[in-house]
Amino acid sequence: MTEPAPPSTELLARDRRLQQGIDGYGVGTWELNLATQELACSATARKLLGVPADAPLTYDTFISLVDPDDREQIALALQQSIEHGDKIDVMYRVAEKDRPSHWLRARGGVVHEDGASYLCGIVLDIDQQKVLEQELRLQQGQLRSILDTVPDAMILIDGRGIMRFFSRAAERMFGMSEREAIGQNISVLMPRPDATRHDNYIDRYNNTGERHIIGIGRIVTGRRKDGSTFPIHLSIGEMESGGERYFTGFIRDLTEYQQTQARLHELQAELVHVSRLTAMGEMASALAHELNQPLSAISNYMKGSRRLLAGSTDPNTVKIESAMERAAEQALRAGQIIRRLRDFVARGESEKRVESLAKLIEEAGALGLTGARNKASCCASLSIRPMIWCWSTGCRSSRFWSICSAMRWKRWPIPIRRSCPPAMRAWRTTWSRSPSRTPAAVCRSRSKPNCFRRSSPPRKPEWGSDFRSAVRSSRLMAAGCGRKRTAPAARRSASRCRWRPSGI
Amino acid sequence: MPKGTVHVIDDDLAMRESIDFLLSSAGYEVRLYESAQAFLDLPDVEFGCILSDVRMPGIDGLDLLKRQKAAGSKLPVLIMTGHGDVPLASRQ
Repeated sequence: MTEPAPPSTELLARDRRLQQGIDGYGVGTWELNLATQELACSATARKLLGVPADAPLTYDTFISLVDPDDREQIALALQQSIEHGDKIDVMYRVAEKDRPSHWLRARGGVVHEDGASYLCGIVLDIDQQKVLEQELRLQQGQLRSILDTVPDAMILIDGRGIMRFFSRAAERMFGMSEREAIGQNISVLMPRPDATRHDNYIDRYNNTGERHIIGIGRIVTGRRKDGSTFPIHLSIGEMESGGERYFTGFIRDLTEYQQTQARLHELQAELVHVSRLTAMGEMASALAHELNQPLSAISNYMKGSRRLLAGSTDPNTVKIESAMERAAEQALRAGQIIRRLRDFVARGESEKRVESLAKLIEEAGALGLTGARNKASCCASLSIRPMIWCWSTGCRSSRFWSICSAMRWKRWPIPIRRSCPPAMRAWRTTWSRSPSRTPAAVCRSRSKPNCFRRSSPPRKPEWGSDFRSAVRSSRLMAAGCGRKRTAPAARRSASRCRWRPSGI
Repeated sequence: MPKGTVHVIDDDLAMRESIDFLLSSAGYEVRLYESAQAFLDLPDVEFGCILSDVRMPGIDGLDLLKRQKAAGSKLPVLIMTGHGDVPLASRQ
């Protein structure tokens, strides 16, 4: 600052008071002589820097006090200031042996006077501010990390529908990065009809305050960046911040859930269908045997009578013979109808497939016990020797059904029927329902689907029931697994399913 | 003159009687048994063919066949069934 006239005493006094004010209340002043590199500091400045009141100071001593990481930026700022006349505004740490490093801020600029150049400025203590700033940043980082771990996608929009925050889960779900999303209207994440209406929804809520989805939650359709749509569950909350209204959306992808539900329904429908078919088959078998008896008897009587009539001289003989012949034929025809019914029911069961036994039992178990687990407190533990592949004849659902039905009847004492010797081409075991009577429905058709039978009754009721099954192992798969099997005869597998009543 | 004896074993009364009628009308001597056990309990039976149902309570038709074979009996055995299962039929 150059003054045209020598300062008056009043001005000097004022300057002195100014200096006292500055000095007394935390602002240090400093002056660097660029020619001599001498640094003149006020008492406060010296205190801030941590140098004794009378020690000579140069630029170099000053720099040595500064934290090594911050030295470069100070040198650069000085350089800029000297060359281009820029203002200096640097924040740096000073450290001392017995004091922890604390933050200072220096501001200043170049001053020319009497042909000499000086750098003059102030220095402030900003330690507390800096610490607060760092803490805030840390907390924000932590919060952000927590939000990123939330499994649901989170999106924040402002009162006009513009996205402000887009969580990592949202990035994954919609295939769009946060940077792309922020600033766009939320309607880009919706398919056609909803997209155009969304702004209206917000307006309507702003005007009427009626909640149609806020706090209620709804299943809607979302749209990814690539245009594909998928089902989502959307919950929305609202909040206020800084006088502005914001809306938070939590989104869960329902694709997998819906697929699982659909599959479950499909399987259950199949199960119901097959159980009906099987019931019909059993009924047909029972009928078949029961009906065959009287029909055969009728036929026998007819044929016998016809034979007895052979030598008769009655004028009506021919007619009677013919009538009896036809009656016998009709009886046989009735028997044929039953047989065709049984064949029809048995028809869909002749495809052969290789199945993993463990997987089959587990799936059937899960399905079969879905209801049972709620009613009876029992738990199923399956111990299945792994890597057993079996040929299964019969449709998958009927195997399910036999496994499921096996589980449901586990409590009833069932006598064991001998299973057929391994030499049989089509493996099957018999399955008997009541101890007193062996119903004719037992051994039904050639290609009876896999059946599960109980092994010996458990010694203690709490041990539950063991089910054993014999399945024909697939030689092909076994060979693929590197194990040798000798003959493709039926082998007893080691699949045991144990059901234990628990929680009694 | 009877052509021969047939031992009919079936648990169903109607079947037994109708077969009796049919065979006697053809000139055979018919003996009826309610179960295989009743047949086996007899100390000696006249030579004739055995006509047995498959599915019966107690000893079933195939079991009877096995026992006859084991006992070295010369009586021919005919098994009849209302089921018509080929594997079952082809077993013995």
